[in-house]
Order: sequence, then C-alpha cells, then structure tokens
Amino acid sequence: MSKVKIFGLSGSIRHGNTEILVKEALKAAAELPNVETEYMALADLNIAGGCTARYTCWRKPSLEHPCRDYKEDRDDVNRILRAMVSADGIIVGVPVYWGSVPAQMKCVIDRSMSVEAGFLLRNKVGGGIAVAAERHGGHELAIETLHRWFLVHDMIICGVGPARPTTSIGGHQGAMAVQGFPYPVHSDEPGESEAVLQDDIGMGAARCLGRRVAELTKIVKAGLDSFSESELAWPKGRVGSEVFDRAEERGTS
Amino acid sequence: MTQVKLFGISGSPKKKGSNTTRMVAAALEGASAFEGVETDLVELGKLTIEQCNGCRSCRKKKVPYCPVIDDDMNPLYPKLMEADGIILGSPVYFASVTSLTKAFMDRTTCLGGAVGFALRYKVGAGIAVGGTRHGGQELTLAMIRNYFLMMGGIVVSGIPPHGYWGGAGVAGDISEDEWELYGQKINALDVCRDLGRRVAIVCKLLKAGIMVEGEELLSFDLGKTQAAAY
Repeated sequence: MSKVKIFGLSGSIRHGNTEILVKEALKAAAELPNVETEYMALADLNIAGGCTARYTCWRKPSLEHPCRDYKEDRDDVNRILRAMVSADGIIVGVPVYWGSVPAQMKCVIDRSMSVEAGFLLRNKVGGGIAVAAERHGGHELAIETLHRWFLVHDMIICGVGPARPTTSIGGHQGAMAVQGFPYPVHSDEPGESEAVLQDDIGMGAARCLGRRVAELTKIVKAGLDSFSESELAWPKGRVGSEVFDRAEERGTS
Repeated sequence: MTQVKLFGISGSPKKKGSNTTRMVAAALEGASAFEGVETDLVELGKLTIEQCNGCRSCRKKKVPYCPVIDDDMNPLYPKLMEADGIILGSPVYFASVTSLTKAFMDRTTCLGGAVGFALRYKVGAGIAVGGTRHGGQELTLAMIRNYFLMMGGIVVSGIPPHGYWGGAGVAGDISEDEWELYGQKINALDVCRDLGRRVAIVCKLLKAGIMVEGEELLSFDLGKTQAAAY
C-alpha cells in the first residue's frame, strides 16, 4: 500500500477560520491508512514580497532554494515550496479577499514559478478550501484561482468528492465555508476569527475535501509506482520537457 | 497493460466542417498514441438533445440516466459510465459553451449526487475554439472544468505551457494557425494531441492505482453518500 504525504497550507495571515478548516481537512485525510500530513500557515511565516521577474529561477533552477528573489533569513517561501514538492497531495485554504486569494498567498503562487521548471508539482493532487464572511462571498472564485494555479503546475485537481457531511454540502469544486451560522459573524464582532466552527456544513465539506484528496493521492501514487518512468515520460525534445532539457544543455540543472 | 477508454464529445452545432470536432478528434488521436487506449467520439450537432426540464425524476428514482425524455441522450449515458476519461469540446459562444453543449451537460445531472457521482474516478478535460485569439476560450474552459468538478470528477490540464487550461483554438483553419514554442512549431491540433495524451496518462495512473489501492479504500468508510440530500 502506498504511503503518501498530504501538505496543508493555510493562506491566511492570521490564525483564524482558514486555519481551523485546513487543520480539519488534514485531520480527515490522516484517518486514511498510510497517510502522513504536514501543515504550514502563512501566519507563522515571513513573506517578503512578490515575484520580481528576474527569472533567476528559470535560468538556474534549484531544488534547495527555488526562489532567490529575497534573502532566506527574512523570507520563508522556499520552505513552503520545498514542502509542496516533497508532498504527494496538497490542500490549500484561503480566506476570500475580493473574490480571490490574499496578497501574501498570491506571492507564494507567483513565486512558485520557481518550481514550475521541470514540472516538480506535476501529478500531485490538489484541492482548495475557501472561507468568507458572507454566504456568496466569492468562495467559488477564490477556489477557481487556486485551481488555475494547480493547472499551470500540471497537477490533478479534485473537489469535495462523493461523500457528504450529514447535513448538506458546502461547495462542490472545493470546500466552502462561512464564518458563522446561520448568519455570518462580521469581522468587527467578537469571536469572528473562529466563527467557522458554527458552520457545520462548511466544516463537513472541509473534512470531505481532506478525505477526497487523501483518497486520490493514494490512488495516483500507487499508479505512479506501477509505471516505469520511461512509460510516463514526455518524449525528450518534445514541448513539455524543454525547460530541463535546456538547463541540461547549459549544464546548470 | 492498463486499458482505458476515452470519450470525446464535440458540442458544435455544425454537422460538418466543425473545428471543434477536429480538435476533439485530434485529442483522441494524441491519446491513441499510447497502447491500450480506446477512443470514441460523439458529435452533438448530429443529435437531438432536449433541455433538462428540472423535474428531478432522475434524482427521485436514483437512476444514472434521464427517465423522462426519450432522445439522443439515451445511448450517451452508458458511454459516459464506461469511459475512464472524458474530453468535452465546445465552440466559444459569448465566453461560454454552446447551448447544445449546455443541454448535454444539464442532462447528465442524473450521473451526480443521486447515484453517488458516477464520474468520481473519471478524468475530465476541455477544449474550446473561439472566433478570435482572445475570444473567451479560457472562460469557456473554466466552465467545462467546473462542470467536471461539480460532477465529482477529476480535472487535469492540457500540457503546460500551451495547454494550461485545456485545449484552446482559434477558428479559421486551425491547422494553419501556428506558433513557435521553444524552437518547435506547433498549432492548436498539436495542443489537443498533447491534451489527449495527458488525459490518457492520468486515466492509466488512476486505473492502475485503483487496482492497487481500491480494495483497501473501498473497505474504508469514506463517509455517507447523502443521496437523500438531493
């Protein structure tokens, strides 16, 4: 049976509703046999800034220090990227900011181009979680943003899957939760940073997503293990393998 | 040898000369380059498909087909159930799929929650052909991929960088619309061939993986399928 690692990332700059949901998803994922989980939160990390478009990462790809836009003593994006590369499944949760992800999360997304060289995230399974302070708060759009990110990395995307929480479903293409139930607890009211605990539907959806990502990750890993690398490899010289081919030619891989 | 079946659907209302059909056929051709891949192509433009009328009979009866409307959707349900990968292509009509394609999508509601999501281990990918270069292909592809996710399926990219969101093309002569990528000349049909190949690879991965992990996972309670909620 294949052992897999699921990496969960909370894309919120504080320890609040997003963290609760991602941890709930990871807990559900860990219930499957042979599943290990790792968790990181942007709230605990330094994000020094966005992509500076120097393309150092593209000219000289590096597994140890993928993005060299900022000094590593004041920036933790490489820690996140290395964790993503070493995982088999990835769950990302975000609070919805303007129908999309928060700026700090977008910095991580943009700078992940540094692991796009060689398609280091290819074939990993990805799922998204979003939480907002309104029912139609832009969750679907934020999760779409995460999916677009996953697609560019050639990852395999899933939604919450067929299982359902005991009540209803919070989203299909990703787990969607509202901070508060039956009405959102607004951001200037007490208890708002953990109000998602009231949303049984959203919490249940996060659990379903965690299990679905774990289930598919195990299946994909078992599938990858049963094929030889040459059977799955993109033909050398064909579009899709070229970045590493070029790096090899230049002797910088 | 892992055998997989890919089902390609072209949502163009044109009965002949459709670019979308050419693109979907190219995707299936790309997939067939692998051994053990069987393909099937359906052109919705040649069929009569009525809109879903929202009666929810499929959900009440919990059947994986539409029990109320008798039309050309009937033979498509078993094809969808048997496929391992589904490639859905549509022309871009106002940054969205054609109404014909949408009618097809709506009539597959019966394969959703009420029957435990028949597409839950199937891979889906999209193809969109627009009238101009930035003609709404990406939004149409977003719609197709969210359709697959809402059906409980699994979504993959075409091959980055030319197929991030799926297979996108520009109408006109798609085999002549070429551009250069890393020293190679490619056109929209090549993008689709790569997409088909990618779908075939992921279908094989899933199928092989299910054979290894399936028994253990099936015996593990993944949660109640709340068919009644529908």
